[in-house]
Amino acid sequence: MPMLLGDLFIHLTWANALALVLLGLVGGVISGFAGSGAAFIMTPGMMNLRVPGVVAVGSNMAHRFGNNMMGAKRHAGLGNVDKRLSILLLVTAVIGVQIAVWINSTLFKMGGGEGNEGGGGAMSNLYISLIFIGVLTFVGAFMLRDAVRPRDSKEGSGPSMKLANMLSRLPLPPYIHFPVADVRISLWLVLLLGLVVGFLDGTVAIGGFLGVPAMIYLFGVPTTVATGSELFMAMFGGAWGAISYAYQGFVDLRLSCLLLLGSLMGVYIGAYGTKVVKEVLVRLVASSIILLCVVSRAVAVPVYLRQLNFLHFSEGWEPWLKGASTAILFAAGVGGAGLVLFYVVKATLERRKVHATLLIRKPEAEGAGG
Amino acid sequence: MSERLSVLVLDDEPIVGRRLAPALAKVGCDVEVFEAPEPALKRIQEKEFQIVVTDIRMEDIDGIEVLEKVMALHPRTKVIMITGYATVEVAREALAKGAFDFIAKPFKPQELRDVIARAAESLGFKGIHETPVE
Amino acid sequence: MPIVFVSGVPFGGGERLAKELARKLGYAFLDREEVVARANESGIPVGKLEVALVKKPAVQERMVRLRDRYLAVATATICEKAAAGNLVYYGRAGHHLLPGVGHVLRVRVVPEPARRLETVMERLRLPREKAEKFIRDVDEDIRAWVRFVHDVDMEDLQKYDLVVNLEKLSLENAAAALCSIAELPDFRPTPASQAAMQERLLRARARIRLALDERTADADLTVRSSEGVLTITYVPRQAQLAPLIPDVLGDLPGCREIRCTMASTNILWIQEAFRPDSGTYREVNELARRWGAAVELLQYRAGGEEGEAVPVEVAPAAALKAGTGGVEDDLPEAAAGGADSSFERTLEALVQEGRSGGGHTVAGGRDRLVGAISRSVPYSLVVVDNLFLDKAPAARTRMTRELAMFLTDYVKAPILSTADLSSKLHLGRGEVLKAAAAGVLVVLLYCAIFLRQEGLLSVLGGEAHKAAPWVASVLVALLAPVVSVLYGNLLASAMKWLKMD
Repeated sequence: MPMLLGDLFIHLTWANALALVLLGLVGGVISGFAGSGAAFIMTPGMMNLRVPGVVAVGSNMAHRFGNNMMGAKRHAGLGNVDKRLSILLLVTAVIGVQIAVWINSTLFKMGGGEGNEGGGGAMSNLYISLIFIGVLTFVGAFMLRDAVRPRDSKEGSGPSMKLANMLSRLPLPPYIHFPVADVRISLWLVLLLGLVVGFLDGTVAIGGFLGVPAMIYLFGVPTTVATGSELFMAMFGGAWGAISYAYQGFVDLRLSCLLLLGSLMGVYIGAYGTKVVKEVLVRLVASSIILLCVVSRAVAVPVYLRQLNFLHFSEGWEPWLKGASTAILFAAGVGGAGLVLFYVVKATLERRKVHATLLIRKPEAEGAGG
Repeated sequence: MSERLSVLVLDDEPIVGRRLAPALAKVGCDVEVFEAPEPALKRIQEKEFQIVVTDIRMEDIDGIEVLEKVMALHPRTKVIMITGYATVEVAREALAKGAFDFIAKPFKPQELRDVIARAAESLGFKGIHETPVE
Repeated sequence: MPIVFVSGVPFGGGERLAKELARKLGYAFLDREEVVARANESGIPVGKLEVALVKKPAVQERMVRLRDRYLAVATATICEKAAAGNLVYYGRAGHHLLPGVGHVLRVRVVPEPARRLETVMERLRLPREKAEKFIRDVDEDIRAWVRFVHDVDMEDLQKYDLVVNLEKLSLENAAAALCSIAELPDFRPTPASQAAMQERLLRARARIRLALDERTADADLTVRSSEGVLTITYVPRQAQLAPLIPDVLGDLPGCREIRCTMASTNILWIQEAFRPDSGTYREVNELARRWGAAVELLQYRAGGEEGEAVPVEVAPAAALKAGTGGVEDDLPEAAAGGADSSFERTLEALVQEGRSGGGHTVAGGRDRLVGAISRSVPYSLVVVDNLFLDKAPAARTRMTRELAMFLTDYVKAPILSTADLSSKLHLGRGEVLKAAAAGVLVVLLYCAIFLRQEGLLSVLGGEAHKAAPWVASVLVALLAPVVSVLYGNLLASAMKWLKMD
């Protein structure tokens, strides 16, 4: 496939343009539904379409900027964005990103292997994968456990509030009240979370995966608000990232626009999904997707270990492992998105039925005579 | 509770007086109960009650007549009519003739207490309670 | 021959005219006084209704069941008396008791004002001024009564066959004229009109029995009948009464069969604050009317002091109990605290519409709410709105929606918010135009991008970028949001069109 401008920008055909739109749709549905997660499938997905890693990241950033903006706007319309929370988180998130970039580039310079994923060396790749696995295993398992736990506890089917209650008792003034989320949280905890989220975002673009559950379980923020506020915060992060990548010349706006075509629609459907699908189900689907991503990453780890000479096995295994990793990733993405779409369609049809019956006039009952 | 309100209750059914007397005494009323109109009217001539509660349908003299007599003797007295056979016409007649208020049976003592409290207020009387004092 | 309904105002000569007419025709005479006496004997204190009308404020409240009972007694009394032979009835607007019955002559008597005033002054021993006020007040009260009891305007002349003005016409001549009119074939009974009257009678008797039996006195029952088949509809909460109903009704004459059915569908309406004059009430009520559904109210205060569900009953229709002399026991203090008056008013408005499925109030966590929802009732719709009133509006929207979603686990019926209920079925024209404009712009932008790929890429990362990298930044910073906003608006309209917003 011929490349344009020194192998940086791919040549677009109808086929790969359509693939990009679908990729956007899958990512968008999951983003809108689970709060975050477009990045984990989009970057590798684009790379599979032979987009160079760094351009994939840059174009993805640019698309996420617009996407998050509309997502946040949509959530704001549904009353799901706590701006105070988002802005406070953003303050330290920027610092977190800088720390992550610094660590990443240091590790990258240490080199190792000849991996190309994310444009870094094997050391960097291993580091990224381990963080990814560590964080998401924890988050996914926690959410899954909470979602499938028998519903006999006093809180009903809402998320577990045990941790949030414990944290809220810690004497860490000043406390700030967040009006939309309707919780009181210590400022320090919010700033700390921002730092961690920023760090993870800068490392593997999975800040949202920790940020959202942390807000839910540690702060007691309702699921939908956590999602909306995270999106709002990510909007600024995305803008900053997109502009700097563009300055470096790594943004292919054509790809961004194609992704946007699918993902924005996906975000709308996903956000509608949170409205019509039960909270338990939202968490169940989201945690399943996360855990599948963990598996995908874990399958790739031996490759990096071999590249760093920590592990020894035949080179012939490498493409299999990489292929399996990608396959699982896409299974998670497409499956998750499909599941969400299924629920959304089902719920929509049910509502339609109600609306239809609203229009059917029953014969007027005979008045209560006396 | 400085002053007590003097109340006359007239109903030809004895049970009414038996039930109302304690209910009104609780809120600071001195209650005298009569079961026939004549003795009641006689007592009214002797004493100016602040409030008269009377049934309308009675054997010899009906409540409207009692109302007329009370108003002629003591225009300041507040007369409250209670009856099980209320109609718009009778109620309006009683009000036209100066009755303070009109209560249809069956009613709860609290309803009467509320009316009495209003009557006491219009008399400039302060010592009455709307709800019983334990 | 017909039933003659003479309607008039007190001291207006209508009663004398009616009596004279009955004498001339040789018909039986019945007046309102007798009906009221019979109601009182049956333990239905009509006086409460009358006094409620004199004391204006609370006309609609608490009186609905009492009114229905009075109507049933009046209907039964008139029908029974008329079945035995011909009848002249004098009252306020009695002909409304027998809608659909053909052999009814409806006469309205308009009094001669001066004579009426004199009569009042003389009979009630009132001075002129007070007599005038008395007449004004009584007329106003009676007009209110007719509006409340029959839901018609007494002054609406379309509801009468004949208006007799006694200003010039003497009573005797008026009676003679009415006599000949009453004998016209137009007012003769037909088999159909007789059957209609029998149906009314059966229904009225059934209502009276249900009202006077203490087992069913406080239930919300709807009575219908058709060709001798009585259908009693009860709301699901009172399903335990179903087996009692045939027992209570026993062997009503003219009743071929008794059918008890649960209200076919039920709407559960959960709110924190209810108002009978709200738009939601109109929508829910309209829906209930279309579906023939009962509406059950559930007042829920989230996070409030926990408490078990407290049923809120419309104050049971007053009934004369023997041995109290009409002085009841005071209510225990606690009973007054449960629900606020606007909630009760809504409930009463529903009772009045014949669509009440009962009401409850509950406070506390979600589990309390779930506990208050009966599992055995097949709801066909749950309306959730106007909750979490102590929260900020933004949080309220979300929390209400979340609660609705939470409830889907427990209730099979669709759960709608009021916004859904009243959601506009069509997009506004302005919105369509806006969406179309956004669509066109999006297409143009995409065309520009994809038809000028070479130039764009040069700016983004080629020769042009090397010269001025910031242009790419600006381009991205501008294009990404612009495309998103335009395309997003287009999608938002599309979602709305698909009813997915």
